[in-house]
Amino acid sequence: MTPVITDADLHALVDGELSGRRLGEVRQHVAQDINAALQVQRWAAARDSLRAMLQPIVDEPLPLRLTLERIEPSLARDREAYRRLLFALGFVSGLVVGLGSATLTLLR
Amino acid sequence: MFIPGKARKPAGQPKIRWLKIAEQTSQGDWDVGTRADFDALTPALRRYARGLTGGAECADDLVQDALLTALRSRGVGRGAALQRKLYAIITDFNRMRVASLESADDFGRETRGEVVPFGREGPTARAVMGRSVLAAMTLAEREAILLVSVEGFSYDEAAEISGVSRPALIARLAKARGRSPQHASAAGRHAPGLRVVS
Repeated sequence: MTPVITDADLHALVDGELSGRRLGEVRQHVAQDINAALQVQRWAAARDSLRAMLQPIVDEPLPLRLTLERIEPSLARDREAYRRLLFALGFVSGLVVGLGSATLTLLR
Repeated sequence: MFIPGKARKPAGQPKIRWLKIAEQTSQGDWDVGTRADFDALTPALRRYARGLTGGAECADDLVQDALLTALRSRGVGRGAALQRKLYAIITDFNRMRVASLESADDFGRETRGEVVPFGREGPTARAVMGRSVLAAMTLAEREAILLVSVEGFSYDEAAEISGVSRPALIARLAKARGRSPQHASAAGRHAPGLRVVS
């Protein structure tokens, strides 16, 4: 029985998603069907064109703001602010508890 | 700089999926290995963001916000998990960016792929063709084609990053490829969408 090949299989072939027996079946179908072969060829060409268009971006030097040397000080400031907030909360909590205890002691 | 927290939140705003992915990543320290991962991933993240937005400044804003968000989160993760997390953050932030565009017309036209955000850069004929292809796609289609064809993610990984099912991702991929100029010439011979060819 001839296996049923769908467009989804052709997409999967272009994207390297097939393996084993299914890969062989789809390859065989593409070898026998000129329309399917042209379709696969067009999609692969479009994929290569897109990759070629965007690839130079990877080779560009990184903007300074995207380097960890620039990002880390910002994170350090955030951490410092967080520590100060925790300290302030602890201080205020201690003050409230202390004053409350003192007040209760005096009222007795 | 784009501040996600200040973006207008429209009805039906997609759930922030990278939080879920972050929970799946292992708890890692801010060590040499993590630094190396970030350094290695950043150029490709810029490529993805540039493909999504079509503009260098806007794309770098997205990448910067994604890096800061990931570094601030408790479970930064490593390797492939970190990679998926960063791509998911950029995908979500860009959706929020598009959703927060001032003009309702801009939002609608961008999501329908009727605007041309790729009009200013690159002199080569190949680049012009590539840009026109991306600009003709809806945002969802552009995400799918960039993640699979350019960034090299598997269908399952791309579906996880996009927050959709695998069949939905494949459908978006098929629609995106249906918009390419090469395909247009053969459109008369083929019915749209997925079909049986034998």
